[in-house]
Amino acid sequence: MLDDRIQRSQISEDDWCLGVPQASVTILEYGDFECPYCAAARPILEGLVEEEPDTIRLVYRHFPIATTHPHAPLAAEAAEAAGAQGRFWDMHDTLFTHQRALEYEDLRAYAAMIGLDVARFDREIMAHLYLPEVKADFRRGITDGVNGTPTLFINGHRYDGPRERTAILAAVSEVTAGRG
Amino acid sequence: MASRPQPDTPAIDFALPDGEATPVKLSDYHGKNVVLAFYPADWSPVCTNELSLIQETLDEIHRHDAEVLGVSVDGHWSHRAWARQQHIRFPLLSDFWPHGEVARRYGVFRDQDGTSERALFFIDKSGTLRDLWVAEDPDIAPGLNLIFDTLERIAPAAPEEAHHA
Repeated sequence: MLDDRIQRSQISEDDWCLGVPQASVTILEYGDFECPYCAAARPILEGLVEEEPDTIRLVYRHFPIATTHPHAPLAAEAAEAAGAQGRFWDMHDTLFTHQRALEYEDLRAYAAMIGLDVARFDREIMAHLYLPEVKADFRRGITDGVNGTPTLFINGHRYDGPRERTAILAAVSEVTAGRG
Repeated sequence: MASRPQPDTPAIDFALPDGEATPVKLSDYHGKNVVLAFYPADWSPVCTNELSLIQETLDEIHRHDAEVLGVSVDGHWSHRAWARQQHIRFPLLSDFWPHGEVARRYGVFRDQDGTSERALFFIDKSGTLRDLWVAEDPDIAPGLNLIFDTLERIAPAAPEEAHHA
C-alpha cells in the first residue's frame, strides 16, 4: 500500500509562488477559497514566508470541493485570471478575506478593486479559460495525496499537524534537519 | 488486537441499514468493485472531510466500475441528516446494532471509544478483498491517492467517454 503522505508532483515555474524560488523550504498548499480552514491558514502561511523570506516559500494550488463549497471552483478560476494579469496573490488574499461573498458580481468587484482589466477578466471567466488549470491542479492534488483542505506539503512530505505557526515551524525544522 | 481480514480472501458479507433504514448487503454489489470506507463518526466539524472528498471524486471512482459504501456506528437517522448536509450521495451504512458488529468482523472496532477505525477495504467484482488500509491516527483522513492508486491496480479505469457537442 502506497505511503499517501509523499508529494509526487514537481513544483514548476508555472506554479504560483510567494517567496524566493531558491528558498530551501517549499510549503505547497492545496486550497479551496470557500473553505474557512484555508482562510484561517492564510495569514499563518504568508506570515511564515514574511518571517523567513530566505528560507521558506509558499506555493498555492487549487483544490475546490464544489460539493461542499459551490463558489470555490469559480473563485479558483478568478484567481487564475488575476494571475494572468500578474496579480494572483492579491486576488488570492482578497478571496480569502471576503470568503462569504464569492458570487460572480463579487469576483468582478474584486477584480476592479485590485486594478485588473475587468473587461478582459469578464471575457476570460465567461469562457472558462482557466478551468483547465484548476482541473489540472485538482488532478495533481489527487495524485499527491490531498486529504482535506488545506492540504500542506513541506518539502514534499504531507503535514497533517496543527495549522499554527509554532507547529509548522517545528515541522519545517524537522524536514530541513532530515528527520521528517 | 482484533484480527483483520487478509487480502485475497472472500470479503465478509454483511447487511446494514442505510440512511433510509433500507438493508444493504455487501453481496448486493457483486459484479462491482467496492470501496468500503469505515470512519469514526458523522458530524465531523471539518467541512472538507474524507467523505466529502470521496463525494467530490465519485465520478472518477465510478470510472473504475467501483461504488463506495461508508460505514460508521452512527444510527441511520444520523446518516440521513448528515448525508443531506454534506450532499453525500453514496450509501452510509449504520453499524449501530449490534454495536460495531461489522467493524469487529473487519477487525476495525475500537474498544477504547466504541467507534470504528478510519479504514478502507477494497473489494473486487468477485467479492474478494484485494487490499486494505487502516489509519494510524483516526483523525487523519487518507490521501485520495490511496483510493485511486489501489483502484488503478485492481480495477483500471475505463477510458473517458467522448463528449459530443
